[in-house]
Amino acid sequence: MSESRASDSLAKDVALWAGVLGTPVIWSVQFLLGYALAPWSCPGRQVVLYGVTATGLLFALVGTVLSWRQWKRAGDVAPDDDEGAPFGRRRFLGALGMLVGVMFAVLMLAQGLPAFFFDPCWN
Amino acid sequence: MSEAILHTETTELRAPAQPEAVASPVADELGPENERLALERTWRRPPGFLGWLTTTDHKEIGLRYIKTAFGFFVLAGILALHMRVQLALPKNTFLTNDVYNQFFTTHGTAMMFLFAVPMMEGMGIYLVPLMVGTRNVSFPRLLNFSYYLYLIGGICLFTGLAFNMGPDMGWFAYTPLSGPQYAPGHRMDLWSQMVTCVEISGMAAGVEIVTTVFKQRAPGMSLNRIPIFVWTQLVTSFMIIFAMPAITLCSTMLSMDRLTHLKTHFYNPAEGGDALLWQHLFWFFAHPEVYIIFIPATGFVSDIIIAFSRRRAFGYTALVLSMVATAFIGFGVWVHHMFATPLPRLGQGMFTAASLMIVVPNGVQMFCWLATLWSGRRPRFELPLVWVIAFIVVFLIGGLSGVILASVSVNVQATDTFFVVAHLHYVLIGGAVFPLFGAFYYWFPKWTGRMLNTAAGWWHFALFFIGFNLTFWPMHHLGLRGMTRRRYTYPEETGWMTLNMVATIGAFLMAAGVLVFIVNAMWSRRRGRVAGDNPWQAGTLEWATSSPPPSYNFLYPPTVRGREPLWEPEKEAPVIVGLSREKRQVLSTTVLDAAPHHRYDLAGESIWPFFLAFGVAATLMLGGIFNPWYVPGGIAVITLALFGWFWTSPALRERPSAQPHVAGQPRLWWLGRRGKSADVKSKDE
Repeated sequence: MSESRASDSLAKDVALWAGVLGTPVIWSVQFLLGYALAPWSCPGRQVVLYGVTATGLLFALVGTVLSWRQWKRAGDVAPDDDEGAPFGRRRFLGALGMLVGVMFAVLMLAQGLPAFFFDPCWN
Repeated sequence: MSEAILHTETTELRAPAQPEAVASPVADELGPENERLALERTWRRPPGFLGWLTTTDHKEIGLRYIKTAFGFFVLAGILALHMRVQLALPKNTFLTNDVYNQFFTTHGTAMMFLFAVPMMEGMGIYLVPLMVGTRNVSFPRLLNFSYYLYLIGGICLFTGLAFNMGPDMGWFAYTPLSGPQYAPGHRMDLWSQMVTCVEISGMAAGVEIVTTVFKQRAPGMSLNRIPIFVWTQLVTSFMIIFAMPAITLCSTMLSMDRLTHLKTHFYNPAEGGDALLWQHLFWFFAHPEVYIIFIPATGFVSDIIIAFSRRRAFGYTALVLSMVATAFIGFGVWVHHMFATPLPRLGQGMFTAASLMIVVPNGVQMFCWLATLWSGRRPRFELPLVWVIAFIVVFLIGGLSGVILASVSVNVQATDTFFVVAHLHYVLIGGAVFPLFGAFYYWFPKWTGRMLNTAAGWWHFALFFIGFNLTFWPMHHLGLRGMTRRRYTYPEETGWMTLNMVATIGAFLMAAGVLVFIVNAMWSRRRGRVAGDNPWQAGTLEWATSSPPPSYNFLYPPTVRGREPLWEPEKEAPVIVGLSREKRQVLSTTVLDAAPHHRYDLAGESIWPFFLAFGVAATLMLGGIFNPWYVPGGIAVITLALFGWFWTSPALRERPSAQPHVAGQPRLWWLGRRGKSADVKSKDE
């Protein structure tokens, strides 16, 4: 276990939370934007809603990839492995971030779909 | 502190304990027995009534929360029995329309605000410090404050009901029905102030648990080793902190609308307000609240399943994913309570999507539990596990009717019928009360040192399970046949009588089950079989100390090397020494890795939190119900109480000596020989 792996820089800390907390935050922004813009998009401006969904998905992809890199960098460490404890935690957060990232990407997709089928003018 | 103590740098703590490094710890000079006596002197509460009133022991307050919440559960259940008697026959005259309205509102309000959430908080307050291996929560006085504020709020609600001032607008109090025009008198005022009191108390408890989990975990308990139950409490506490402000805001706005001195128009469309604003704000709180109730219950389920299948959680990461995802998505589904309002359809479609997707993490979690049971050793079918398995069945049914209701088209048809009543009782009783009873059987030995009687326990389970399904299953059918909720009676021609009668019989069976449980608990706490420290051979830290735990929790606070510390192969895990015996001191650790950071003195007993609770409650009640001019006076009292609170706190008086940082590197004293604190104890006795 080299020293460089153990040292925590700010960039790494940001990457650590990108999936676990970043993707859900992106989701909430995407969701609220979409919900707020839905009535506004009424006469044929759905393309804005598509754009919001696509941007959210893009960010989710970034969060997931960052988490995946954390997970990979931590290596294969069991939670009970005492020597590699910090890496076990990093691996856990990376794996959790990947799962959360994928989960929220699917959620954004699901919430983006109604814009393709519903007329925003329909009340 | 003796000079002979071993000093170890933080970074070396991960190394296994070296036998020669244990040469002359303080504990040997003093001996465990003297150590115990010193700790007992420091941590026990002052004698007498004042000591009882001002206690800051998380175990004592946690149990008070649990008992109080259970008391409100029984009271609200008695109201429900009255309602069931009224509905058993058509054109029944057992209750008048007005009394029925007050009863169903108080029933719902008490079950949600006074039973479910405080009960889950009480379980967390008792168990979290034990599970993370520390001696008390990080802000003990805040705990004292939050309990009394909750108690006052609850007493106000039922006192109001006793004096014919019970709220009668339903537990979600929709405006304009709850506004000044349609709800004259002080019934709704009392309700909204009670809600504010209880939610402020809830936020205080939430802060308490977050700080304890983040800063006081046993060294070695990095994020990936936190017990599942502690994760659920952490996630839930964050939800509380984000959800409760919405309800305190909207109930305060309602009070301002109603107060004759202020007469604001937040919810009055005639003056430019918006009645739907209430629904948005209320459900932005109240839907997350459902998960605030449910997520801790999943923690009970996980821990019980892990203990009884005697293997580590299958899919620990997936279980954490499921609660994190549920917690976030829980804030994004509130409009599904409002599908019958004229909101844009496209927006409603987004909420349908979220409401359907929230099933995914919950399904993941179900499969993790089943896989844990499946792949563990042959499970012991004892009462805690039986309740958990019943939970899986019942909650699945509730979840499926929830999937049905997530669809706008079905929802519009079923809104405000008994189908919804059936669904919400299946998810709330099934999702929270079943695991809760399992948790009672599981942790009762820890609280009292004695086991609950098994035969009575099986009666309790059978009566409650059968009664529950008899009560709430027919409500699905009643709802589909058009019976709307909140009606106090119905004509005979509707043909609803048979199913209603079945439901009433079921309700009394449930009540009988609860009665059996109460008698069992009363009897077993004195005369039950003696449990021992770890009757279920579970792996988490609360079982590493005696049952019931001493006031200081652990003679030597433990360190941790895995997810289930008591199942670790090596018996000789390091423990912490070097904390003060004369002061109430705990070890503060880092957030991510729980590396030791510094020693931290906790505040002792004080009467000020009690005064503050009264000050806050009186300010809200008097100012919010009668005249806003009481508020400035109340703020003066609150300020005084806060000054008293902080001027007597050790953090303010002794800050320089409390944190001995040596050249930027915190030092700690370690002892590598004692083994687990449980072993130490058994050796002594």
